[in-house]
Amino acid sequence: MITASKHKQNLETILESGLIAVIRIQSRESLQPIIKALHLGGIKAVEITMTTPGAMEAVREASQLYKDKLIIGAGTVLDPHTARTAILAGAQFIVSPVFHADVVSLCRSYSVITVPGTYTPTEILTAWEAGADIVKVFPAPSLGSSYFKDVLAPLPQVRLLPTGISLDTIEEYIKAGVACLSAGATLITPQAVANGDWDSIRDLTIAFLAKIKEARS
Amino acid sequence: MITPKRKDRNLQIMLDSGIVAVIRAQSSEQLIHVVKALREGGVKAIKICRRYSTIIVPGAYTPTEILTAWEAGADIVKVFPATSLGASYFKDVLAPLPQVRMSPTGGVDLNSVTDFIKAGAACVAIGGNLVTKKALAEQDWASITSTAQAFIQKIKEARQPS
Repeated sequence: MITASKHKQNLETILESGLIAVIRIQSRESLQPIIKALHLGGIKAVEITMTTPGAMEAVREASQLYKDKLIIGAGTVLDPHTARTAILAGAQFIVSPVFHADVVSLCRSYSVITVPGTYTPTEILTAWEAGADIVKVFPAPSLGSSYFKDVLAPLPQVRLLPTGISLDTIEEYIKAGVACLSAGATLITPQAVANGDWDSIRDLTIAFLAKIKEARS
Repeated sequence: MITPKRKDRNLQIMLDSGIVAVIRAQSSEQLIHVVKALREGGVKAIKICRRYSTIIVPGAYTPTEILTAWEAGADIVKVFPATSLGASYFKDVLAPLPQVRMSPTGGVDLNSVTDFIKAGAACVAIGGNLVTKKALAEQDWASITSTAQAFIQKIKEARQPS
C-alpha cells in the first residue's frame, strides 16, 4: 500500500532527481542488468513499459528487489485495468502516452503518482485539472524545448515532463522550465542492450544526472 | 450495401497498396471543416460508419486523439496535418502504441513518403501532390498516372526491410 505521505515523498524524490528512465525492450533477459546499471548510475525512478514481455512480473520483481532503493513505475498504461494491476504488482507511479481521465482518478484513489501523456496546451491543462502529479508531453522532440517555455508562460502552475530527451538536449529543456525529464532509447540505447554493455548505461545515467544538476544551478 | 467481408477486402487492398488518393473538388477550407467536425464529433462518425460496415478513417493529431479514435473503432487513424509533425512523430507514437494503424495526411510528397512509411505508417493519403492543380488545369491525366506509379513504387521500396 502507498500512503499519502509516501506518495508525496516519492514525488519529491522524482522531481529532485529530475529523471525517469524508461525501459522498453523486446526480451526480458536484459531487464535486470539494465535496472542494476541504472541503479548504479544513481537513478531514482524506473518506468517499465507494458509493451515489454512479462511486464507485470517485471514490475513485481523489480519492486521487491529494489524496495526502498528505486521507485518502480509502470509505463504505456492505456486503461484503468492495467493501472490497477500494475499498482497491485507494486508500481509506485503510472505513466501513459495518452490522457485517460479514468486512469488519473484511479491512481488518485490509491495515492499513486500519475503521469498522463498530453500534447496540446488544452490537453495539458485538462490532465492537470484532473489531478495529474506531473503532465507528460509526448512526443516532445517534435515540439522542441521552446514549446515548453511558451506553455509555461501562461501555465506556470503545471509540472511538465518532456519525453525522449538526450544528453545534448537536457540543458535547453531544463532551462525552458520543465519539472523533470524522461529518457528511453536515448539512455538505454539499443546498441548497449544488444551488446550487453551495461557499464555504458551506468555511465550514461551518471552523465544525464550530472547534466540536469548543472543545468539547474 | 457493403458487407463486412467486402469491407475487410477493401481495407486489405487499401493497406496493401499503401496509398489513398485524396480528390478534393471543393475548397481546402472545406477539408479543414470536415476534419474539425470529425475530430469533434469523431466518435459519432465512427459509430455510423461501423453501423454500415464502411471503412472509417477519422482525423486525429495528438496521441490522446489517436488512441481515442482507435478505441472508438477506426480502421485507420488519419494524422493531420502530418508535415508539421514530421515522420519521427509516427515512430515515436508507435513505440507505446504499436497496435494502431496510422495514415499521415497533408503535404506528404515523393520526397517524404519513404520517411513516413519507414516510420511505420500503415498507408499514406496524398491529395494535392498527386492530383496536382497543374495537372487539373492542363487536363494532363497522364502525369497523374505517372505520379501515382512513382508513389506506389516508393512505398513498395520503403516497405522492403533494409
